[in-house]
Amino acid sequence: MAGMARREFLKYVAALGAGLLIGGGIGYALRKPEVQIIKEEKPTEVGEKLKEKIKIGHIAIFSGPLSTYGELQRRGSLLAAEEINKAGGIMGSKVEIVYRDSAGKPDEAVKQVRSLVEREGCDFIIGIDSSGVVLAVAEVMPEVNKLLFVTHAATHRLTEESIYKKGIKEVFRITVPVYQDGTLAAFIAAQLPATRWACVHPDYEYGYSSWELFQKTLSKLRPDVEFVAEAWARVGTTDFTPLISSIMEKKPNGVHTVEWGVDLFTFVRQARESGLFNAVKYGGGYAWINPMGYSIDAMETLATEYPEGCWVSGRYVWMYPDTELNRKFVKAHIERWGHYPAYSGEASYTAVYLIKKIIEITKSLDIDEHIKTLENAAVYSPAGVRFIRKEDHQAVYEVPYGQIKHDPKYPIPVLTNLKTLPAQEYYRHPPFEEMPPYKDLYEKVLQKV
Amino acid sequence: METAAIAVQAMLGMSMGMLYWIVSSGLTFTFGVTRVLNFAHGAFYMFGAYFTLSIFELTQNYIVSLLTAAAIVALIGAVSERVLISRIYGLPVPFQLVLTFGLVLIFDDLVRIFWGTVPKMIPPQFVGSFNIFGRSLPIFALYFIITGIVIALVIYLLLSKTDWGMEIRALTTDRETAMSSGLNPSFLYVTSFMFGSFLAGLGGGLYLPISSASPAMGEHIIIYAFIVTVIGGLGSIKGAFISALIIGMVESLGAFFIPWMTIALPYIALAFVLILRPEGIFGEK
Repeated sequence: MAGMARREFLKYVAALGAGLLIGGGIGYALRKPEVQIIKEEKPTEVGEKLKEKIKIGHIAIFSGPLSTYGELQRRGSLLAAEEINKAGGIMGSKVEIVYRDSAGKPDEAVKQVRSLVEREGCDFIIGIDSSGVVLAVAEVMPEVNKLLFVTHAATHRLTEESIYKKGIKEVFRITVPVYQDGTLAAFIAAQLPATRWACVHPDYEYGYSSWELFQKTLSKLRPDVEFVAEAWARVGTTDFTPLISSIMEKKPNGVHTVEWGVDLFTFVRQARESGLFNAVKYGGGYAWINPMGYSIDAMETLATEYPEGCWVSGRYVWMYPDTELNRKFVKAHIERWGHYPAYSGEASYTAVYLIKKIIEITKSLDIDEHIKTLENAAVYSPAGVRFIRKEDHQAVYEVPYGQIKHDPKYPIPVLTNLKTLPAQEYYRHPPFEEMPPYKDLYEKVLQKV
Repeated sequence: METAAIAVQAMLGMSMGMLYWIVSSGLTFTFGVTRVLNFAHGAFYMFGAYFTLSIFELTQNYIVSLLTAAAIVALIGAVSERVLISRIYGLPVPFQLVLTFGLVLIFDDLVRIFWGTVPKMIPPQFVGSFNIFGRSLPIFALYFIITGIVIALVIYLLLSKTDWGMEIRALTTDRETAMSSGLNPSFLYVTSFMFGSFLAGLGGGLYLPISSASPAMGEHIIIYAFIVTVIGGLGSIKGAFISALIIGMVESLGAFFIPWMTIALPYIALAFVLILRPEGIFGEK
């Protein structure tokens, strides 16, 4: 059985100890996973240095209303670079990270990519926050002939269209795509008593694709549910109350919202005052699903104002999985920065270590070698084992949802009642024609949740 | 049923419009007097929120924090006007854009340095809601409506009942005659800039308890303030009040009837006005 093989595999990988490990030829998707080769981590002989310095360009949003997100990523990549340099660098070369601001604008990010490669001599690019930006940046990666590791932007169009259909091989996404926000959210929703769902989403690509995946998946899982109302908020909405009251008019008893950042804070606060939480209350909490609710900025700022019992997730939550590597990462992050790691911070940390590992394995800076090594590899990282799918260069790994709990032992709310599915059961699969749940998994999936 | 829902939407739209009004009143007021379109107005709004936050952390008194913060922002406005903006009066418009936009960048980064990039909140100050036509209307919506009207009255009284207001009116109606009859324009420029900045700071502080203070938060509101100001007629206080209400209502009722179009509506309204009456509802030709 697929699940068993996978669990054994996880144990095997975990036994190999800390650090990132890359194995080739991992099965994925609905095929039975087959573990083929796992390379044990050996100390790399320091031969001739490939370069004096390995330079990584990190592009994120460092200005404007969303500048927190650049900072959260920087904490991860800088921590990794510091750790690596302290331990002798990459085959003797120091790592240097050059940070650049995309300002959240596609043309600006493209300009920064060129400048990082041509003027700074960067060997790799990591980062990129938003959907629109990542689609534009992906287009220029073949031209500059460097690898891009995406650590935040989540649109499925990147992996399904730019990489899979158009064949852009230079881009890998090592963070979770909107399947987390739309599809897995629907699996969680299917377990709740709510039958009348409404949404409040940001009015751009991410909001629309999450809501589409959510509706399609949930209506398959639960033919009895209705989608009764939609509200679309511009980024930077100052007042959500007209949106809240217009959806409440349709008497929803469940809410799906992918609001994030400052808009999420405004929305949660105003939803409390407008009585929206009361409308979606059920015996076990709130039928309130907010995929980005467990983002660290939200937990630090909203804290106890976010009602206990709401279902939230992130693209990584620090308490999952409970592995030595993850505990070590969380501890190091708190010691270095005084904050719990954010999802994009974990992804940035992993990206830098991944770069180290592929250079050590291939002993070169040849990107064709790197691509070959990465495709179908399994990467042991704080967020768990990421399978890098060959077809779409998407790292496949699962992240749980959980219910918010205010525990005075922790400076930020924690999650209880963690629920997830094996990633291959909620990620869409090449050729990306059908929506989950996949027919043959349908029964099994429902039993498992 | 439907009518009650629409009435509640309209009230929420009014409350939303009032925030736009408070911020754009300062913008249009300053423009009317100095003829400088101040992009940094949004940054003053952001300062208002952050100062209210920090003073609140010290005093735990919201009203005191709000007013002190707005006064500090007024001082920052005065200094900016005297040191920088006064140098570009009468120069071509691009100078205004470059200078005031430069201020936005500097102020945004100052906020990031002093308060960090993660948004900050104070506890909600107006908790709970009214039940009206079987629907809930948050108390803070009412507080925005009342504050907006009070500010409109104060501006009206200042302009019509005080010497300062009379001089301001004289300056904006006929600049040359006013100056030749011995008015001190520098004094009027700096005080009107202070007043405009005070209103921006007040807007930020009023907004803080229903949301948060975050770097560059002014970027979102300033676009709306410009839309409101242009629809109302640049420099027209009355125009700003009316058009802020229109924008708030259009957005709120739009969310009810055509949710998928909500974000386009203010721009559609703007396009309409620009086509039919390019100088704005109360603007001068």
